[in-house]
Order: sequence, then structure tokens, then C-alpha cells
Amino acid sequence: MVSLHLNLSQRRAGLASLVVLLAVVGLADAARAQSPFSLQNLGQRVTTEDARMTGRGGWGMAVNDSLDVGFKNVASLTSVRFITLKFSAYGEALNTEDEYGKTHNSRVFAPDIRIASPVIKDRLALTAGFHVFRSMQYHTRIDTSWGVVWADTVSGNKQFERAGNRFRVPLGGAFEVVPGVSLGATYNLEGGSLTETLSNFFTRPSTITGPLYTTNVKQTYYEYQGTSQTYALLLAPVSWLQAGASWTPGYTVDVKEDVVHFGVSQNYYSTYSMEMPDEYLVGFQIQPAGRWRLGADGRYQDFTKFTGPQDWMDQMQEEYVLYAGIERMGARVRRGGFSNLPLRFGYTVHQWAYSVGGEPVEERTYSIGTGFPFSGNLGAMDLALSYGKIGDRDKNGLETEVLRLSVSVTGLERWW
Amino acid sequence: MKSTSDGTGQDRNIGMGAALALALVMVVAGVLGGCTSDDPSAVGSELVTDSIDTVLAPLGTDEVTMYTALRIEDQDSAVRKNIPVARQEVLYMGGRNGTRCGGMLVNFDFDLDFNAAHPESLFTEENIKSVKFSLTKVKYYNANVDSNGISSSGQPVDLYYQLQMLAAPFDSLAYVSYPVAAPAGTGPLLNSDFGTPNSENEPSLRFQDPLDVLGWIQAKEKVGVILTFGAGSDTGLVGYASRDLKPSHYDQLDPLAVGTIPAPNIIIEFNDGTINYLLGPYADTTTFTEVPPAPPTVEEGVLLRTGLRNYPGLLFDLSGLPPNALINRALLSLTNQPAVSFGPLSSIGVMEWDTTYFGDPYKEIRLKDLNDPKQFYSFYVTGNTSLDPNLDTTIQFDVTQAVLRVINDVYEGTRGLLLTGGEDFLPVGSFVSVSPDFYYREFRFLGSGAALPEERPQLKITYSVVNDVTGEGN
Repeated sequence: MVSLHLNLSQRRAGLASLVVLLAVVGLADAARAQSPFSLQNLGQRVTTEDARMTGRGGWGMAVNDSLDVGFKNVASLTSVRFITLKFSAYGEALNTEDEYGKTHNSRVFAPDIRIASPVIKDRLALTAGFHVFRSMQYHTRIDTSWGVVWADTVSGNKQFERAGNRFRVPLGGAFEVVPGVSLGATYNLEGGSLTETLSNFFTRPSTITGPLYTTNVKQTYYEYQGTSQTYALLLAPVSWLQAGASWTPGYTVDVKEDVVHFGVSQNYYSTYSMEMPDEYLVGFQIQPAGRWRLGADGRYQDFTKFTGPQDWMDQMQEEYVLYAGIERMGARVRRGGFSNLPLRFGYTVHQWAYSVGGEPVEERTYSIGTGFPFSGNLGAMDLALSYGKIGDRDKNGLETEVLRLSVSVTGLERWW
Repeated sequence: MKSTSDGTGQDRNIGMGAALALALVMVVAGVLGGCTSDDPSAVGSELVTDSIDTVLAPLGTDEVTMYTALRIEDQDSAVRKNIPVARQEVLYMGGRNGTRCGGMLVNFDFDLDFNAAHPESLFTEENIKSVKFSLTKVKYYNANVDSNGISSSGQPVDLYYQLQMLAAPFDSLAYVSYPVAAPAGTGPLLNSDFGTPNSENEPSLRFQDPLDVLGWIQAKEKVGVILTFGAGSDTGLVGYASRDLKPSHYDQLDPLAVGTIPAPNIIIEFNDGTINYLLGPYADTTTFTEVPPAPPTVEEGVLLRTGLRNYPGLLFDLSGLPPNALINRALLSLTNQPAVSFGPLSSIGVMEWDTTYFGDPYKEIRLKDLNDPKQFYSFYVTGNTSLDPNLDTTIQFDVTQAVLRVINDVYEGTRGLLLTGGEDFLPVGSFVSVSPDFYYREFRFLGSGAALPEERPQLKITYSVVNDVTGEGN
């Protein structure tokens, strides 16, 4: 699945990876959903880090590993020596509680596919990919009575479903200017869509008690399109310390909005623009001793400067994420057993871009992870298990617990 | 400076690692397990701010801007599906609510086909014991009189039948339409029991003089007779099987004895014990002498008649509806008058009908034109079955989709609503086992002039609106 020319052990590894991914995908079901916090505004920011980074809290801006490339900082791709393909996915189970009670949801998501290719080994590399960075997927249903209409007491339920995402296609490259200093840049195609469906189902009167009332379905479809650029820097002055940073200047997203009321020939169509604020990421990693590394990243985007729909603007906050963690890197000591496995621990705190219930939304996540290198170190499969909590019942009116299994497969191949 | 994660050890087969990974994933999958999401619930609904601006707003409209009374003509007997009166499966006598039948006309051909069982030598003055004129009521019209003489069906009980010769056999082509004048009978009454009330389901009228029939046989004559109700008969409309009754519709009759001819027929009994000779008619017909037209204005009422099809069309004023409304439900409501409506249970279909095919208000169309298989000017909307003209008062039809099409300007031109009987060409479920020409029935609905607004023909509409959805935007 990764390489065109696989030896036996690579094929075993590929097969195992495929089974793992299928197992994760198998967690999906027909009623997939994420947290109800995604019912509003921009939606939930999706984990864009691979499972290796997720296991150690998400840091990865300063990665310069030639065999397990991090795509979080495009400047780090100068370390790429092989064609690199990385695929990340996760399955999550969520428990949400609010004034109406509790609900359990689950879903599988494959937000990230990346490829990088060295042009001049250790100096110049190109990259492309696809990653989803915001997602909205939730469905509510509440029993409702509409009172007496004609001679009928009409009742049923209101349902609202929000489904969509925002994605980015980064095209770019990285160049090592001088040893220890790399620069990178990507030109990003911004896209996405969102469908909001509001339905009134009138279940009484029924076919037995009287002619039915036709269901009301209002559907709003949004299509997002734009471009952005990301500029990145990686500093690796010494082998035990690296630092990285990136900046995505504010950009414009063009929005097409189409509102339809099923059964009505007219619609409402409009176009407008959203101005996204600058996005900053910084991070470092150090390797104080042996196989142990630790690091931290920070991400900041001031959404109070966002312009777009007024009701969204009214809710906007400064979005920031702090990632921190430690990692015991893998080893290949004969008869090393489990001690050869990498181990990762991490912690993430994230303030969402918008408030819910008039208060900022905070998400805290604890994670552990490990990984399994493929034969000849030509890639790896990494796993991370994380537990987090989104929001606070007292502040936001609801809160969600998230248990997430992340899987990444990295394949390396010498194509030239 | 670059670092690598390939460590210092040797390459090892990763089979063990992959197996461990797989096991770990399966364990975690189990932890995540039961990962079927709950059904959507109210959890999170406090974050839903979207709404539909107007939900289930009621709008009643009883203003009829166009009205038509279509008379479905069956004169063109060359058209296979048309049913001229003389070819109807039921023969009607009596009358009700302005409809009058002048009598049942029956033609017999006495040029008999003699055979071994009934040779010509059998038909002698000495051997003919009796001659009867027999007919069979359609089951719905059976009096069903119990031992106390009480009818359970509400149909006429005591009927005085009078059978008379016609001056000449009638011409079927003269009885394809209505109203017509009934020919007068000539000579004395043929039956001897004209003074005795008859409530039987299969009335059998005894000829006063069997020699009359013997004379017709010997002369190989064609003879026409007319059967009427005499004075003292209970009032009402009564239907009998005609020679055109299809075997597939024998279920509309009570079970018959083997060999029975359901149509009007002559039964000759013999003294020598030979089995009876039955002679069926070669023609029979009802004579509708008076058939009241549909009300000339919708204020005076709305008539739906089967047997002799008369179908009403209505166009309601929908100007009160917003153009961007979703029609959640629209009911066409009509108030039937059981006191003046009559007939057996019925289906009623509702079709969209191009108003250029409306009359002002009367218009005649052919039956084949009532059916519009290419849907150029009509479209089936809905239908109700088992409607009882004698009992049902408020009758409602779900015409939601029709009103929705009007609001959405689906058609060029204007379409009203046409009510029909359960025609064969309507979708299954909207018609019964016999075509509307079988039973003569009337639904007389109150018109727009009804004193109580709720009893007027009207559309009861319920609609919803999303204000933004206006066909505009930026």
C-alpha cells in the first residue's frame, strides 16, 4: 500500500497496517457524530497531527527526523531522504452530557494524507497532501408539539443535522539554506462544504388518525473556497535541540450559500467572504539524554479578528493550543523486546475559536502512544490513545468526553 | 544536524510488532466498543439556532373562482370504452330526487332455435303450462324483507310490476343518451299479477295468457315490451341485471341457480315435465326520462353523479398563500347531504384539471377524453374509497401535492380540481370492482352559498415558510 516494490517483511507490515486501519474504520456506523460543540460556528478543529505526534501531546514543529517525517512544519521536510507517504486516521467515542441528558456517539475520520519527495537529499524537498482541519458532524432530535392546527393536535420532533468540513491542500517545498537552517512554504488550496438540515417531522396525526402533514425540511448548503500561504522555519543548531515556527497570513474564504425549503421551487442564493486571521505556530524539541526527547508546541489564531457571518463573529475567541510531551524513541536492540518500542506521553490544552453558552470552550487531552517500524526502517505504523474533555457543563452548558484511537502509517521508498 | 530514529540495533522482522499492534488495536476497539452511536437525541439541541420562520400556518379558502359541471357523454358507441345507456349493465326503474325512469324496454326474438331438448312440437297450446317474465335485482337493491315484513336494506319493498307490449321493438340507437321519452305500451297488461306487490329479489311475472307468447313463437316475431312500476309502488330507484351484465360482475348479484339468465327473460313451463325454456332478450335498456342537471352555479351546490356521469370541477382562490410556502397539508373539504344523496358506497377520485377544459359551467366530454394518459391537461391527485352518499357528511381529500404544484408554478396555465367516480384508469385503490357507469348514485354537496362557512366547498391549507427562500439573493 505504501511502496511499489515490497519485500516479504514489508508486505507483512503493509498487511498489518491495512488490518489496523480497517479495524479503526470498522468502528464506524451509520449514525456517526462528533461532539455537539460542532453544531455552531466554524466547527471543531480536527487533530491534524499524526499519531506519533498525538501520542506525545501533539508537538512536532521542530521534527527533523529523516525516517519519520513530520508534516506539521513544512520546513522540516528537508530531512526527507525517501519518497514519503503518510496516512492518518482516528476513531473516537464521545460521551456528551447537558441539560437534556447524556448521549454516546462515535465516528471514524481520516483527515490527513501527505506525501513528500526529496529533490536534493537533505537540501530540497517538495510536498503535497490533503488534510481536514475543521469538522462539523452532529444530529439532534427533540420532541415537539405545534399545538392545535385546524382540528388536529400536531406533534412530532424537530431534527437538526450539521455535516461538513473544511480542508486544505498544501502544495510546497522546503529548502535547507545553510546547515541547521531550513525554510519552507506551501500554497494552500482552501476548500470545504457544510450542509445544515433542519426538519420538522409531524408524526401526529398519523396515517391512522388523519391525513399527514408533510415534513418541513430546510437545508442550507455552504461551499467554501480560497487560497492561503504558509511560511515555515526550522532551526537545528545542535543535535539535541531543534526549534520551528510557521506563519499562515490571514486569508479570504469565499462562501456560496444556498438555502432551500424542500417542496418549494424557490431558493435563496448568496455569496460572501470570510476573513480568516493569521495563524502562528512555534515549537521546540530537545533530546537531553539517550532515547528521551521532550518538546512543546504552541498555536495561536486570534479569531476575534475574524470577519464573516455576524452571529459567528459575536462568538469568536482567541484560539490557542499548547502541546507538550515526552518521547522515548524506539530502538533495535537484539532481544530488546518491549523496551525497543517507542513510548510517548503528552498533554494538550486547547481553547476553541468560539465560545459556547457565552463562555470560551476549553479542551484538555491526555495521550499515550507507541509505534512499530517497518523492516529496514522504511516507514512505521504509529498508534496513540488519548482521552480528553471538551467544555464544561457549568460554563458552557454541556461537556463531552472523548476517547480517541489514532493511527498513522508512514511509508518510505527509494524511487530514485 | 540530522537525527534518525533507527537506533543502534539490528533490523528485525516486524511480524511480532505487527501482531502486537493488531492486538492493541483490537483491545482498544473493544474499549471503544459498542461504538454504535445513540440515536439522535435532544442533547445539544440548545446550540441549534436555526429555525423555520412560519410553521403550520392555517389558511382556509372557500372562494371558488371557476366552477364546471362536466357531463360525460357516451353517445359514440364506436369507442370501445364508451357505454351508451342501452348498453349499461344495470337497468333502472323508478326514480329518485328528480331522476325518473320511464320504464324498462326489452326486445325478444321469438324465432326460437329449436333443438332436441326443446323441439318445435313442444310448443303447443296443450303443453305450455305457464309463461313468466323474470328479472334479477342487483344485490344492492334487494329489499331483504324479514319475516316481519321489514326491509333491512332501506330499498323499495312493494313494487307493482306492469308489463305491456310495445307497438314495435325499440331501437337501441334511440337510447344511447338521456333524457328520452319512454314509448307507451299498447294493449292490456301482459302480466296477471300486476295488482300484487312484489318484493322478491328475482321477480317473476306471470303472463295472463300464455297463448300470446305461443302466437309470437309461431309467428317468429320480434316483440318489444315495457316494464313499469304501477301505482302504489314504493318510491325509489331500483336496478336490475341487463343483458350486458359482464360475468365478472355477477358478484353484484345474489347467488343464482344454475342456468338462470340474470337479464330480463321469458320462462316457459311445460305440462309434460320438460325443463323450462328460457328466452333472453336481444336488447334492453333503461329510459331515463328525467335527469336533473347539475346546479348551474357553485353557490347552489355541487353534484357528483355516476351511472350517468356528471363530474364537478372547482378552482379555488389561492391568492392568500405566500408564493414561497411549503404546503404541509391541503384538504379539499366538501359537505355531502345524505338526505338527498343516494346510491351504494363509492370511490371518488380527484384530478388536477386544466381550466381551459372547464365549461361555463356545463360541458360535455367523451369518456375517453376524461382519461388523459399523456397528462396534457390532467393529473391524478388522490382518491377516497368506500364513501357512503347516504351517511357521510364531511368528505375530505388530501390534495397537498396539487396545491404544492400550483404554488410552484409547475404547469403552464391554471389547473383546478375535478372530482370523478372511481374510474378504471385511476390508480389501483381509487376504484372499486365496477365502473362508475354501473351504479346510479348522486353525491349532492352543499355549495358556496351554504349558511355555515365550514359546510362550503373549501380548501383547508396548512403551510410553512422560510422567509429567505424567495428565489432571490445576492
